[in-house]
Amino acid sequence: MIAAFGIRKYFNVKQSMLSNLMLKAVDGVDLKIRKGEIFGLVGESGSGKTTLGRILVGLLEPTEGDVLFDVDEDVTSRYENALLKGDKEELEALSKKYSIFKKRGNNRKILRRKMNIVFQDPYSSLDPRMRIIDIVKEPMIATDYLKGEAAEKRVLDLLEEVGLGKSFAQRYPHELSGGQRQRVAIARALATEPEFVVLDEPTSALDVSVQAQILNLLKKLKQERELTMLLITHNIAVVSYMADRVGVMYAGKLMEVGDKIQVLKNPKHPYTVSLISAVPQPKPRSIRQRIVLKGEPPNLIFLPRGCIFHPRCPFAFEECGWSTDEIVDDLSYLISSKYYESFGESVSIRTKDENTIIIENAKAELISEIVEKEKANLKSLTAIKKITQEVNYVEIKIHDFITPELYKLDDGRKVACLLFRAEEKNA
Amino acid sequence: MKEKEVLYEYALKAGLNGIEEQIFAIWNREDIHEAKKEKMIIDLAKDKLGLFERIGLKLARKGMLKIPLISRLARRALIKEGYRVAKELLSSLGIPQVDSVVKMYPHELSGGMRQRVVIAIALANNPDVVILDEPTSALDVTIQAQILELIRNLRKKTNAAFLFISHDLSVLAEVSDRIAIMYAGKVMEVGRVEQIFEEPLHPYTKMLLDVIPTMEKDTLKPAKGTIPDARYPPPGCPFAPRCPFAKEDCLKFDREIAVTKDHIVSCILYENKK
Repeated sequence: MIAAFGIRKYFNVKQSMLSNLMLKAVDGVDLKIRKGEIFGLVGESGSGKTTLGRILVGLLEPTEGDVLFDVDEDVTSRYENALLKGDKEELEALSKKYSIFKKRGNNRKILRRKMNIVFQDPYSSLDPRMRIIDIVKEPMIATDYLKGEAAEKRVLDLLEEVGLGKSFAQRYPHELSGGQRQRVAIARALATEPEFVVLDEPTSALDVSVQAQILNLLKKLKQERELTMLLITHNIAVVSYMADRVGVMYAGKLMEVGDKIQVLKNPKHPYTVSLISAVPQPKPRSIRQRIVLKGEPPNLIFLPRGCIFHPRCPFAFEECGWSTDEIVDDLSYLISSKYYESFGESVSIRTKDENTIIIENAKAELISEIVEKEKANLKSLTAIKKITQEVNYVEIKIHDFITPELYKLDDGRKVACLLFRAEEKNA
Repeated sequence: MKEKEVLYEYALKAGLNGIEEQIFAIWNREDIHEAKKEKMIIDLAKDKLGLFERIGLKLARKGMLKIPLISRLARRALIKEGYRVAKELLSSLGIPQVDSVVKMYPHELSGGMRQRVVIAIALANNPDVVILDEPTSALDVTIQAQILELIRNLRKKTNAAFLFISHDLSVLAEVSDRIAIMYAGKVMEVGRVEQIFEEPLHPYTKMLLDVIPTMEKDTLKPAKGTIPDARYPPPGCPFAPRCPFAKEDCLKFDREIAVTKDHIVSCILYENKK
């Protein structure tokens, strides 16, 4: 079992004298993968799936947070309690014992044997100047798992097991097709008898029939060896076929985590709902409700506040994290174009501070009337709390926002959406 | 909200006559709030051509662009008109803030927007046939859904025929009327979309449908091997080496059989059933 707590990974994008912007690839993810399960991680490109996968096998070090490997329920709950209480000594002790980033020397080599990764693109993840036998042998040698003839014999066994045959051992990667290369990559990942394998888009570069061959192979391997797998993919069909549990990522955060059937058949988070409704089905002329999301995923440098999904969310309401800028954009559009006749030229609108907007030369009544009318169309207006008339300007206060956490529902899944905050309290 | 006619009158008053098409292009968009449309339509006044420019354009269209004075008159008009047509097309394809988008470089646009621009390029000259070569395979599912919706709407609005090339059968199920399945350079099966998905005939089509992963399936049944080397294609039916029903005669078979009027299959199994 592998457990990740509060993983954050920020990349520097611009370093100058004045600005140092951070790209928030993964922003606060807690994840537990049980022994022997396939955990599917879905999300759009740029949602941080691959970064998270690389952190879990220790290829990247997170900016914040920790990954504990080979821990049981007991240890994770102790760690969680310590996190809640802020017990630094306990955290240190646990992290020293289990964290994959604290292991050094021989321990690190042993850890390296236990976890491995299959990369996305089989055309660039194999060294073109190495023979297949050397490629598959490399992790065994690097981690002192096996040496010499024993290693070579194991390579041949592995190649047989992934369905390639011994004759492939002396070939070079360019002689193989995409599916064969991906089999080599899988053989390499399995070389040191790992317990945990990350599969980063294992089939997205492959044909459908080859994809099916690889998926079948992975399923077979999982059953034979009780492997724990993290399957990273953007293809919901693949996840629905392979995974036991599913996590949905959006802009570096987990939106929904739960059992595959629950999450994919009966999604709760508005993002999951729209994501799954957007997946094309191989059933022509089937009638179903499709929610086509507006816009694009957010800029990862300047994330929207509150719930990161709120600008695109069809169910957004007042506490979802609307900022004054968003409201000013919509209001100024209403004032300067739609209701131009009633306002005229002299109205000016600006933000005063984080929660206040000021409109000069306007009347409070008129504005509140318009806000009431347009609320249904422009979701940002729901965040307006109070409109008051001052001597020569109108002051608009907006609601405080709440950042959603993963709320646990009755059926065991977790959803990061404010719509389900109340349900957790009841449960 | 003003009625369409009222708005139209307003447009006439603002001197927007002559660009009704563009007004309706904006009006027909579904993705933006109605009030925003009004502003966009009113903004169109900026693009209106002056008297001399209109004359220049008219003469240029008659092929008098080689005369220096006319070319000078027409050039500005052509650029302005080009921008206008571009904006009209882009806005009808659901691109917000066209005024700034037309002046951007491709790298400033996101994947979905680029795909819309490419579709706009294809539609610019009112073609009879539009070939869409994997238009959504580089996109995310939510953006793919936007583009598929757009293509479905375009089908209703235009008279063009669309040839949609894709490796993803699920996408084809969403957009197409008829499907042809190709394998190693040959057409294996042609039929209406229901025929292909509900009563596939060719073993290759059946295999393709079998390997779509779903929650209900326990195991997928892919055919062994991979597509043949196109330099040395196998004789006869190219799928025969992988086909579970292959016979000796398959190596000589190379014909299309019309099982029903609009369902054509290229497989020896159906030779006697026509």
